[in-house]
Amino acid sequence: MSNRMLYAGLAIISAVVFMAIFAPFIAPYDPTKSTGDVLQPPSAEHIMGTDNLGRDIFSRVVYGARVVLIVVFSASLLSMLVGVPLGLISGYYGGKLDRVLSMIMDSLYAFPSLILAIAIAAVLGPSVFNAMVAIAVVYIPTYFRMIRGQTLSIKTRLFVEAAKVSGASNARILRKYIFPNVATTVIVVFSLSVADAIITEAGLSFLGFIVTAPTPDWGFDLSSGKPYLPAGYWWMITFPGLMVMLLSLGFALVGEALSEKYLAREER
Amino acid sequence: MIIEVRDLVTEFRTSRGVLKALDRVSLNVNRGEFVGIVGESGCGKSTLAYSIMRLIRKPGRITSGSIIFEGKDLLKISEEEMRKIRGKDIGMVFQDPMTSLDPLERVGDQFVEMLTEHGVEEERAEEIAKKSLESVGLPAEMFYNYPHQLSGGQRQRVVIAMAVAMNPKLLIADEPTTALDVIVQEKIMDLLEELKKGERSILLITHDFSLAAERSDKIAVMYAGWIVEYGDADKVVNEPLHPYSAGLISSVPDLWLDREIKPLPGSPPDLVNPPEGCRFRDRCPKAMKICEKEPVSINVEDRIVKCWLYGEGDVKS
Amino acid sequence: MLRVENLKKYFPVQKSFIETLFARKLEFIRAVDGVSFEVGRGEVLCLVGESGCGKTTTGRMIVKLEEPSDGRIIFKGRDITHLEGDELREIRKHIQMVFQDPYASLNPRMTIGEHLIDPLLIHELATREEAEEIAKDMLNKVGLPAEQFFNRFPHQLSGGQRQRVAIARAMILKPEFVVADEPVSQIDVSLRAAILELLLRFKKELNQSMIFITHDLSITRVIGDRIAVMYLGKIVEMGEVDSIVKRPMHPYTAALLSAVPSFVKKKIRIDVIGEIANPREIPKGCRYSPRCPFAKDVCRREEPELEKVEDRLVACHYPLEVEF
Repeated sequence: MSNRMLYAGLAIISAVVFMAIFAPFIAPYDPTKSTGDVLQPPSAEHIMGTDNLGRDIFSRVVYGARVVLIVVFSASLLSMLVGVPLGLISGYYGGKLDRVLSMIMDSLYAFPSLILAIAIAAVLGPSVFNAMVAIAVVYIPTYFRMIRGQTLSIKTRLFVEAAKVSGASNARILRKYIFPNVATTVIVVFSLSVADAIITEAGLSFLGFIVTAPTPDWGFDLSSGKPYLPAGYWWMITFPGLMVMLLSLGFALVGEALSEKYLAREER
Repeated sequence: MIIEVRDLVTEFRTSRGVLKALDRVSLNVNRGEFVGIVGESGCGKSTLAYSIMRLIRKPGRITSGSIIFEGKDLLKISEEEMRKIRGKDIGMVFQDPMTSLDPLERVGDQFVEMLTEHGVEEERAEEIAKKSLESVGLPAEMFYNYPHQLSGGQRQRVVIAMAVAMNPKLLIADEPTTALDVIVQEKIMDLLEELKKGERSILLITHDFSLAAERSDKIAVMYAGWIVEYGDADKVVNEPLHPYSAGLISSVPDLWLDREIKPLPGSPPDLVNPPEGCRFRDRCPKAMKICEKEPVSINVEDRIVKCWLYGEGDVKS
Repeated sequence: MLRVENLKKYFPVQKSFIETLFARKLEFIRAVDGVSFEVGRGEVLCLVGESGCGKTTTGRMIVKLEEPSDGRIIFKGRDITHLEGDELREIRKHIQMVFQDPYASLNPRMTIGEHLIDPLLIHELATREEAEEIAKDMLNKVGLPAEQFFNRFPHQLSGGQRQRVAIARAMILKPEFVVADEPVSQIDVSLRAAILELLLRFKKELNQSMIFITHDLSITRVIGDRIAVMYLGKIVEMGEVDSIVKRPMHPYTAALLSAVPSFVKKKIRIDVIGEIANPREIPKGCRYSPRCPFAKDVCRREEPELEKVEDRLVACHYPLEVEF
């Protein structure tokens, strides 16, 4: 079961990544230019129809994968780079530092992720880089909490005490004895937080915090299509929306599968 | 005879292949006998206990053989009938008392529930339960306690009280004292010995050879899914016939024996791919050419031994 | 070699800040409550007792995994009780530990070889290449052929093999002092003797001193020179193994001995009342008195001192005269 989930998720992710990299070869039209009549339903020339400016939606969807992937990947990497070391240090050393860090992280964690991202993005101003930072901040506590918790339990394990008796320094214990044992968790948290960050990115983009017209981006295109939905032009939002769901699902599947395969097994 | 196990095979499916935890094991236990089953982990001693209770769970399966208990083959009856036998005719005590006690329920409630399941009326059940608690040396008031309020030794006593409440003819104790300190162990063993009085038979499963030696009438030594020696406890201990029994006995430190301990070389074989012939061959100081063939279980001086050293004897099984 | 003076370890019962705030009085578990002994060069002292008697905590304080609440630990004339940082690391070279559970004492993500190399690199005793050579020699020495085991991970090894790795790791620094905490209690019976023999071999070769912690008294005759019996955080009897095993004077020692299973039929049985007391409520007077079948009024009033009686130290108002 977990294998099938893993392969399905990987297939989705690689398809989207492939699409983003080879967008110029896949997209039939220039996504920023009008290439047909406005608001045409899906047809042979425009398989996903055209938008209110006559641009090909399929081409926009293909190019749109680029912004999401860049923002979400770099944001998640950034949260990982901050959250994992903080979690390790906080869990290992404990004491005042741990209490302060945990308090900050818990208060960040208490906010709904989208609202927190909006608040940060609003302060920083709209841009791809700022959106990335906003999303990164949102997911730092997720890494922190998972890694801190694991570190707390691993540091009492006998092999860590054995390393202490061997004379290993704290830095060495963290590097050689604790980190390798939380590495699988890091990968799982990465997949799951990317899955969540995709939705957050779409939300920010929908609200105009990431790109400006005419750059194609799924979330942004959702908001441009929204006014036309009541009049029956369903294709403008359906396809970008489906893509957001699909990509998020891909990462969620991988994350769940990995956690079932590796984390659950270690518990046993 | 109370129970007769014949040619029992129990297998476990593993990712590496089929593991024969028990390979044609035969064992007879008489009424009122205290039988110790000794061996190291993985030798199949617990599997034997679970097989007799028909508690082998999935990847595991009893594939052949018979277990005759009071004239009935336990492997042929329905699960419904088996459930009636469990607890009533055959009681079992596990290594960790918490596996058989629910931490959220009072001792008494669990006790009564167990008894009513076997058709005892509720009012009678409470009476039986309290009497049973007293019979294992606990105050009857313990009926009202939760398991976590008791010490490890007391919990094990509660479990034993539950196992013998219906007056079973056979009591199987699977490493009942492994988790306990020596002084408590001694008292639990005294209790088991006391429970033997009358017609009850006891099967004690343990890795501790000297513990079995102290308490048992007969000892069965298991190795790699086989019973390699079975007979009178004193004889097995003082003049072991099988080289494994002998090796194990002389490798165990003993407080009162003035002797050097001799380590057994090597380690037990992998039961997914057991070696051809005698499974103890690689570690045996007396291995011969013929040991490349599987030895038969033979009768030597009232003992059953699975070893070529004693020729082919009068073939037993 | 090693001297321990009045060593104590109290664990607070209240865990959190809030609990401490509202507790009427601060409660402590007196896990180790004033333990003193000496271990000479090349000597093995066995610490024995039931679970919760403080034997493991004592061992952990000596290897500095636990900070003593009081008392002193003197290693080769130097007070190491409160060493920290580089000084502590330097001392660790000489005092090593073998743990009880071989399944937990090895890092699941590190190869066997790396386990042995690491201590050498930590103390800068060898370059990486040299360390690999030393590690391989060591593996061969503990009966695990290096070409087979060097690159394996712990989960590919049996319990007995892992314990050999753990011993190799402890011995690779050639420590002068070893604390062995129940090193065979989780090992298959048929492999125990070989592990004990291995420990004894290193002990002889390196002329080591050792504290051997065990609940199984029968092992003390194989490995020990002297024995210290602990009850509720205190030593109740200490002396030569042979004489204590044959002629215990403390009723608790006698009871422990008479409960040890043996191939030989026992001559004497010494009873104990009830089970081990709660270390939170240590009894008044002699802490063993509530369980002691021989206890008299004095025993319930006055705590006996650990005093010299004939060839040993005993903490009892009425030492027994029995012979096993």
